[in-house]
Amino acid sequence: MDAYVMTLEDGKDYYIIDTIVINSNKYLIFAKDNNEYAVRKVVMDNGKEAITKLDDNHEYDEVMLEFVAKHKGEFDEKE
Amino acid sequence: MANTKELANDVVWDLFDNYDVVKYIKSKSPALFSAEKLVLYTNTLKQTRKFTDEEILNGKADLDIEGFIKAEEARYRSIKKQEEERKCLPIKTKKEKISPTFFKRLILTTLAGASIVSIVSIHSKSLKDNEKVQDDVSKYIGMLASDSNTEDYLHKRNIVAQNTYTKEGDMNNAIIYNLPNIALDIIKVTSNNPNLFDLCILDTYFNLNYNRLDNMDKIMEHLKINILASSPDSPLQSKAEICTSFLDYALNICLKRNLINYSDQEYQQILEVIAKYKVVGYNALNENDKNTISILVSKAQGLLVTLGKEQIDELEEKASKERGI
Repeated sequence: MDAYVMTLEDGKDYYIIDTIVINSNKYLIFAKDNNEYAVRKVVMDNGKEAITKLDDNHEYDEVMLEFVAKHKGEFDEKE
Repeated sequence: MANTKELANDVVWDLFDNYDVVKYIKSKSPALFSAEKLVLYTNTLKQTRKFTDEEILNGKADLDIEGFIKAEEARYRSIKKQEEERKCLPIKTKKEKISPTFFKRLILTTLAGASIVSIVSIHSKSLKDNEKVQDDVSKYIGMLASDSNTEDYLHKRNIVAQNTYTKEGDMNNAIIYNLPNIALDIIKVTSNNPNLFDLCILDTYFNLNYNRLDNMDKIMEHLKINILASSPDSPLQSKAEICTSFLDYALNICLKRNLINYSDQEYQQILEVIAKYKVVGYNALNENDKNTISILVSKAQGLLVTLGKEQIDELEEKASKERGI
């Protein structure tokens, strides 16, 4: 399958594993094979899509809760 | 983001027995004097033996504290400046072929990582002071126990997250939990339905942001004193042991993974069990999952007895750096 890879601020490449939308805000979930992951918010910068870090822990929690809820079904499928 | 919080939690709990000292230093601090810095500084004061608890409480460390606060203010201004200068990163991607198995592993890793780092935010309010919240928590736990999946699942989970402990100070300040009250809350919630005990314990653990096992040990100790000791062979005792094993296991995953030499297959099992618990609840773990836990816990515990304090500290530091970016 095709995956999209992006280099984040730390200079490392991350796979984009999901897109989460909450209250019209779009978030990208990034992950690496060594268990590192990151969440970034999509914003418009000079008319082009860009990513930025989240405002606070609360925003992060909201995104990850949504991410967990979205992937809950994967376990059911396995069983 | 999460690293700092977890580090702070670790130190808070190390200092829990010296609460008066932490509270005294906190009283000297402006709002920007964060909980993380507060406890780290208190720890430094004590580790370097510059002042005794009594001397701190008598004001002999005040000059030192003021100096630290000034340094903190300068650091805070520097960080704010950096944040203001932070640029957005343009989205530039490239395509890569990967296998579906690898992709699923990335999802699982992130699910488990999100659980470990903390999926809930910390807010104020205490369950014991809020009857409506108690009611909500009971309903939520009942919902989990009956394995139902209603639309307000996440809403209820948030209520539990925000209320199953007492936090002193404002959102940006001290994270100091009242362990006896947590124990009492659990007793209240489970008094009419002992079958909910394990769910309550495990949720409390997660809601404490995967805090140190020491903290859960203290809560368990309060529980044992209050309800378990009277009937050591009760189902509650068995459930408490199961929960403790699970907590040991979760902690070992967090901190000791690199030394335990789990195989790839074992590590995959770990991720799945943690993520599955987090998503569908403890009751959903089947016998295989429980056996997996049992085997992995034994393996981890076998290693733990051979580790010295320095090694454990080193691993904790390393694990802390590994979580998030």
